[in-house]
Amino acid sequence: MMFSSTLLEELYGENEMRNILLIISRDLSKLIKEKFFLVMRYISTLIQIFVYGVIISKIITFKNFYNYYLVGIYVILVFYVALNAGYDVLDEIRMGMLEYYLSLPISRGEYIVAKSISGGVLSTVYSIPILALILLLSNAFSPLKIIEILTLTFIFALSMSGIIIIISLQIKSPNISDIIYGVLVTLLLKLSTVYYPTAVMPSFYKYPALINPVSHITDLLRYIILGEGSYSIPPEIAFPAILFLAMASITFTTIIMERKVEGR
Amino acid sequence: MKVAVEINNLSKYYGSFQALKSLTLNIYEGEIFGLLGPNGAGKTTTLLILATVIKPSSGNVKVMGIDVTKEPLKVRKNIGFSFQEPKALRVDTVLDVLRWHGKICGLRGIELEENIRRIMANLGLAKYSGKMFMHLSGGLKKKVEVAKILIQKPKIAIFDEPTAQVDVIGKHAIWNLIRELRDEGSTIIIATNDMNEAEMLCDRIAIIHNGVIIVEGKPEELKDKIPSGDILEIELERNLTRKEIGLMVEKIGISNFKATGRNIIFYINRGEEMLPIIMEKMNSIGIKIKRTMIKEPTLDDVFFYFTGRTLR
Ligand SMILES: Nc1ncnc2c1ncn2[C@@H]1O[C@H](COP(=O)(O)OP(=O)(O)OP(=O)(O)O)[C@@H](O)[C@H]1O
Ligand SMILES: [Mg+2]
Repeated sequence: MMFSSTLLEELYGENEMRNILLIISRDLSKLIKEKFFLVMRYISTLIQIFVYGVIISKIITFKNFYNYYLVGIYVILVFYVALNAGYDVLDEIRMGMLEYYLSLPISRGEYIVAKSISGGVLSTVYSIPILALILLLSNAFSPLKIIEILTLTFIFALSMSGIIIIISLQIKSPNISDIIYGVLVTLLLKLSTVYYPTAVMPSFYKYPALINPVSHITDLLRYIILGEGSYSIPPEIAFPAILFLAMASITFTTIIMERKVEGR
Repeated sequence: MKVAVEINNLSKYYGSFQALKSLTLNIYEGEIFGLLGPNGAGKTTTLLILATVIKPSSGNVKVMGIDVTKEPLKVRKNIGFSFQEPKALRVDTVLDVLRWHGKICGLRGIELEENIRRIMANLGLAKYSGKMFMHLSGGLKKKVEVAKILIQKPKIAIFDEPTAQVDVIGKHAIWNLIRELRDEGSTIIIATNDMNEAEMLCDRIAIIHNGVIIVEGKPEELKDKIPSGDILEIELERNLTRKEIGLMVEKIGISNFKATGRNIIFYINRGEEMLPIIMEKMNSIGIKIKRTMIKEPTLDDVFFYFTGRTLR
């Protein structure tokens, strides 16, 4: 797996790491059992790759647009699976499971770190087949690239899950969270470079797109897969931004969980 | 006796609503302690605070000497909580639920599997082990929820209404397993609104009502708190007016009674001797009696005596 178990062990000690792994493995088996969401996501991704993508690249003859677009599709997939995993915390609140977790001999921090890591792992594992397909279609298949991409995917997905967890825990009301979640998804995807480079954007799209983490990860992956000239945001900026977001997200979720959350 | 749980002046507000009002209570190691009270009394709120799931608004709570607000994780390592509403993921089977709970509580290998097997067998859950939790009936879900904690064997085992919805055979099985757990050294805390359960199972009881502890003690001691030996229940043909009640007190000369609707309960000594006298005197002032009953006090009566309400 992409996260190092020795690193976790250093941070949390053996027992704590076992607890975190228990929560993650439970989430993994849950995702596998709840096939519906995953199957629908795969189908829609494949349609975007083989139908929509092919048509749009006939219209936009910008050099290599199809490959440019494929990276965007991969990020969208990762993004949705990560959000879904983060959203799971809200589902657990709804089902009264939060109370249960809060009564267990695990710290609140462990629970929330585990949930964020789950989101990262789930998204990464789940996106592997699509990543392989995209690398093949882009003629960029290499083991080193795969490792780099999966690592970045994990870090990005972990942050996205974390952000949804923060929102869920703060709001707690499923209805309001649903609305915020909807708005957030639309904004993050629309105001980003997943579909288009900033060069062709109107300026009021451009600035939000430049600070949007979704743009950062997309352009970073474009740099790795397609090389120079394929991105709007240079890797020297995108990479630290992604790392920073991940650390901020873990820190914030832990603080909120330890200080504010009540089980009822 | 060593104190297992020490609650001092505990209050809890949900918004502006005060659910617990300066509760003070000790629970001792190795006892089965029952919080008995009607719906909304504050039982679950109290238990959730002990378990660090929710935070006290004010006051002090210590579990095994550890403060619940200062070191919640340490507290949680000593407790197990069986919830009023059973908890499980949608995709879990009964075995998944129990095994995962055991593992997260630190049980391993043969010990875990053996505990699971034994408790499932005792509660008649064995044949449901592969069934999806969410497809179980209400009573079976409850049994699984209770089984988690029986398997875990925590130092302090908390059961929130452990036998609600469970059938009679199941109730007895659960009570027996809870007693076994106590005999193995755990301290047990249960919440219940079932008098019979409190009486059958608990070594000590506190009656809680509207967020206040009204009395506490051994079931026998509580019954002794009713000042006179017998309880005489009289059902009348109709409700009494205030004036008639006044007349009755004057005539009979017993002021230790409670009247609700058509029922009057006298707390008296020598009930058998008094009954004919009371009946005659009531007749003489024109109050018609439908039925009478003399009995030993039960917890129900204790509750009624202190709150003026019945639990049933
Ligand atoms: N989250 C909450 N917000 C507001 N009020 C609450 C909340 N949870 C509980 N209450 C109120 O606090 C009081 C005590 O509730 P609690 O659940 O502790 O009662 P209980 O004794 O366990 O009752 P029951 O027998 O029905 O389980 C009730 O009046 C309830 O409505
Ligand atoms: Mg309750």
